[in-house]
Amino acid sequence: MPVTNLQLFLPELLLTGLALAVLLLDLWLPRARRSVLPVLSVIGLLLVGLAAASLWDPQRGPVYDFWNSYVTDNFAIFLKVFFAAVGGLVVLLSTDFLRDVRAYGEYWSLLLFVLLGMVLLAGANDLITIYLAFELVSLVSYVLAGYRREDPKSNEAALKYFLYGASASGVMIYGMSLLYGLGGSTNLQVLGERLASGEVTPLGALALMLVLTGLGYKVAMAPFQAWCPDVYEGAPTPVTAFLSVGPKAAGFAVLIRFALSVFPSLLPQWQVVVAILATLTMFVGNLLAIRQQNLKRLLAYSSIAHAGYLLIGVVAAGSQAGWGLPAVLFYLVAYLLMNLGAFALLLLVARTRGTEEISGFSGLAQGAPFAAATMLILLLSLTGIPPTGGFVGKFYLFAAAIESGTWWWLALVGIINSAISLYYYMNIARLMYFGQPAPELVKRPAGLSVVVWVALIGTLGLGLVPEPLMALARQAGMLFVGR
Amino acid sequence: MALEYGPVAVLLTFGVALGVAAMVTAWLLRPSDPYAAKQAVYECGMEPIGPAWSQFYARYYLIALVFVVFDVEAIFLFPWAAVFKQLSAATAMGAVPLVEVAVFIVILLIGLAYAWRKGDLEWTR
Amino acid sequence: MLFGLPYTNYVEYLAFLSVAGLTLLGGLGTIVARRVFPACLWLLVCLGGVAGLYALLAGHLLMAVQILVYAGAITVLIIFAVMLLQRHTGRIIMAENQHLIGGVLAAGFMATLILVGIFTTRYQPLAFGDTPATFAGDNVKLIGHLLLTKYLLPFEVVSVVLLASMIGALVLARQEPGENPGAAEAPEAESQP
Repeated sequence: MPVTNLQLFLPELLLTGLALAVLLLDLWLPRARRSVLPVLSVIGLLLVGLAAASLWDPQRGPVYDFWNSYVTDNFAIFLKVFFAAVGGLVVLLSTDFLRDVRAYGEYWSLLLFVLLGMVLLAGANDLITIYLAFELVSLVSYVLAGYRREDPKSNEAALKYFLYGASASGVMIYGMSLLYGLGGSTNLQVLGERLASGEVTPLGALALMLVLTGLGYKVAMAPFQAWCPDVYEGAPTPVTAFLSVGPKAAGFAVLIRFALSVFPSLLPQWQVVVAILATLTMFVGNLLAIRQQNLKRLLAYSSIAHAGYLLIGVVAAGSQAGWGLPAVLFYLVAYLLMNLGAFALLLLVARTRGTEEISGFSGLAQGAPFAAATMLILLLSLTGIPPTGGFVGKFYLFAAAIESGTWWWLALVGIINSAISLYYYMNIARLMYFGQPAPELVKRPAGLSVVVWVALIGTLGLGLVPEPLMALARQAGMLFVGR
Repeated sequence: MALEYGPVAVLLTFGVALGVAAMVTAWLLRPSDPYAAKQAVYECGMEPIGPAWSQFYARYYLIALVFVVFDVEAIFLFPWAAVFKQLSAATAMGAVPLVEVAVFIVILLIGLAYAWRKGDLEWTR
Repeated sequence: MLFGLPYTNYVEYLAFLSVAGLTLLGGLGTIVARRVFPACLWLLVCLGGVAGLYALLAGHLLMAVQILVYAGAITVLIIFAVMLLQRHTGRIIMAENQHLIGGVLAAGFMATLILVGIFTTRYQPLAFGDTPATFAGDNVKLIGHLLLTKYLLPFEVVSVVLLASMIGALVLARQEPGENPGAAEAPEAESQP
């Protein structure tokens, strides 16, 4: 089927145009007026999100386009709107903190290019499209991680991210080449049908493992998580916030589409592997987070742990797509809100007190009661305590595990891990409320305030009225329910 | 299959053999009489100054980066050029192949505009 | 008959063995070489070997791409980087092979897995892709046709990937006026938020 309907491709076209426009505008804008670039980016991303949302149709099944290499279904549309939101919030986070950075203008277009890669990943239905979009996300992410070139830690982050990421890409493309050899096509559905028609071959299992390894690196799944803390610590904080949500969600999107489309025949096998790795990921993330003094490192380990929770949903989706997929999508949204909110507050505190250590939060409740209360709510959400979005998200994830039957024990592991995480999250809360008083937050840049408000309202809103979003997530997950 | 490469193999073999033969013959025939002036590095008749690792202009690197990108672009245009005429004429696609490749080139031209405006193509700044 | 091959495939088999051996030799040389510049040259040998493999598979366009882009441009870029660094740091970069045993074990494990997978799999005959009769036998035209039809989206995405990576590379590599090239290596105080 050739290009039938460019209208379905509107969000991608808009985003490409936006990225190119921002890039070109930077070249001819006078230096003093370049602050218009982030404004333009936010407005553009809003339009992209609206364009994607306008394609939403609960009745529509998947529409394949570009000779079947691209698919528009509610799952992809949900993620596209999500990615536009990620982009908008990260731009708001970045506005004040990168004002003095070298190559200021390129930052926005590079960010938009990563977002384009993520949006393409959401709908990619072909090994080559997946790989290219993946490389677009990865390559630009390396650059963003090293954006503060004068800072040795930022250099280290970029280099580590690049070396690990390049190896991961190599492993993944090798697995994909084996798949092409076995199935004779790069199309996910065709591959799935051909692999399912014959017996389960050892080479097919190996290819699955290789692709899983490559994706595991990108979403920082144990035992491939080693790069994550160093990269998150060294990268500029707004970039860290972005990396912890954006590329991770894109990785999960590919993982889900890949696992459910190509490997229905190997379902029990990969479920076992992913379940074991999910357990490992949760424990590694939470146990190592306990000792961290640097808040960026702590949030890095916490993001590893959250990848583990999300993997529970992926495993459950193999048995009960109707439960697993909506849970993963819901949790991604909840995690976006609470994590970006925490990073926004970290930026505020670090700017006033000049430190990214947890001790910077000491006595915050006296100096800035509102910021401290917001942080407390976000921490409660990250732990998974009501009435927050994090609680409802975890509830759905664990419920999906229990509904799937075989994998009920993952819910138990998740609950144990949530208890462990309580310790280090509440350690921050303790410092804020019972630590030594310190000066209040002097400056509140507008962009950051917006992010904090969105995070606060969103987290509480998802905790109190989760049903509207959950209904949308269920419709988005419908695609795979039929199996 | 491999027999198609017969001429290539013959060429390769003769090329390598000729070089090796020349060296070996020289080695067999020449008298061995080394002395200091003979063993000195020969470079256009001048005495070489400094180490072989010469100063390297950092600007080369940026140019090389830009070059690689457009090298790859040129590679992608090659199969398009080979098939363009047939594809436009034989199928009902008309100008579509032209538009497809125009999009490709325009996006990369923006990259060239970028490098140009940012002064990455200038030799001295 | 050797290795179960008929006599007519002898030449092809020998050609494959020599090219594959060259590739392996180049790869080994790259990781074993102590100084980084010879390692680059070994890499060139390895990439040339891969070009030979493409040639044996009748992928003529790929062979040309391999030589032009990889053996040509990419290796030159790597050598540029090496020479730049050696000038800035004033010393020859030496490879230090740490974790040698672990590396060998991991590589051996991976190789075993792949070999077992390759030899225990029973393959099904498959029709690969859909070759339009008009272009059958002409590799370059076939690839051109696929790029403009079936792989149109990846084809366009390639241009975006190239553009974005070029901008990213220039942002990282560019030196602002007055910037000391060695500054990035100087120790600095606590990182700024």
